[in-house]
Amino acid sequence: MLVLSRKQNQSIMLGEKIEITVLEIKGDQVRIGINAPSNVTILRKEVYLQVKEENKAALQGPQIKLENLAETIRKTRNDEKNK
Amino acid sequence: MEIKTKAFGSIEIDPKDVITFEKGLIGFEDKCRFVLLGNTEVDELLIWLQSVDDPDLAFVVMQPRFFAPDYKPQIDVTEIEELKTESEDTLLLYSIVVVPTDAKKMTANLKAPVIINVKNNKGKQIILNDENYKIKHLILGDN
Repeated sequence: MLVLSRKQNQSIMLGEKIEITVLEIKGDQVRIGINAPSNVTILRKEVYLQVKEENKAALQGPQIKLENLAETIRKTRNDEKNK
Repeated sequence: MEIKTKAFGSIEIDPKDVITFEKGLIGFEDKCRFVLLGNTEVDELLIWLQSVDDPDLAFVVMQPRFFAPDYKPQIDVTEIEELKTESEDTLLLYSIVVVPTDAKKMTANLKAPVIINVKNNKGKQIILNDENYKIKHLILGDN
């Protein structure tokens, strides 16, 4: 990992097209501005990790049969309607 | 072409049906080729998103309109640039479904939908900024 220190309003360039700027430092929070082409995905890391974990969770568990799942959905919805 | 699948074993598919995810799926960025596989008895409520290259990489997906009719995510055109969309109506949205031991508690990921351009068979999974959409949205029941 490359480690750099920046003061408020200083920037970092990633290649020619991506610029990361330290906008504000307030207590334990840093406000970061990012200028990047639209085809670059910018995400808070924890959100990326959460989605990654959820994708992995989707693969776990017993073998799913679509018919059974669909049946569960239909049945539950019917039960709700008939309440 | 023949592929191995999680739910249906070895099957024949038309290469034209292969959907290309240039960036793969989140957490599986190196897996770029998928097909949608269904069981017509289930009338397309639920469908498999099956990796062409990895038989075990298969996701149950569902179109959000079936359980979240008000789901209208704001998708920046630039975010889906690589899908080369000409008009909104060629885009299909799917949510990846997670089924726990109690199947009634199955959830769909509304926060990170899978978007497919049916005209050119290009796909992408994006993460929405909207905080109202959950990673674990209960398909059946109150959220």
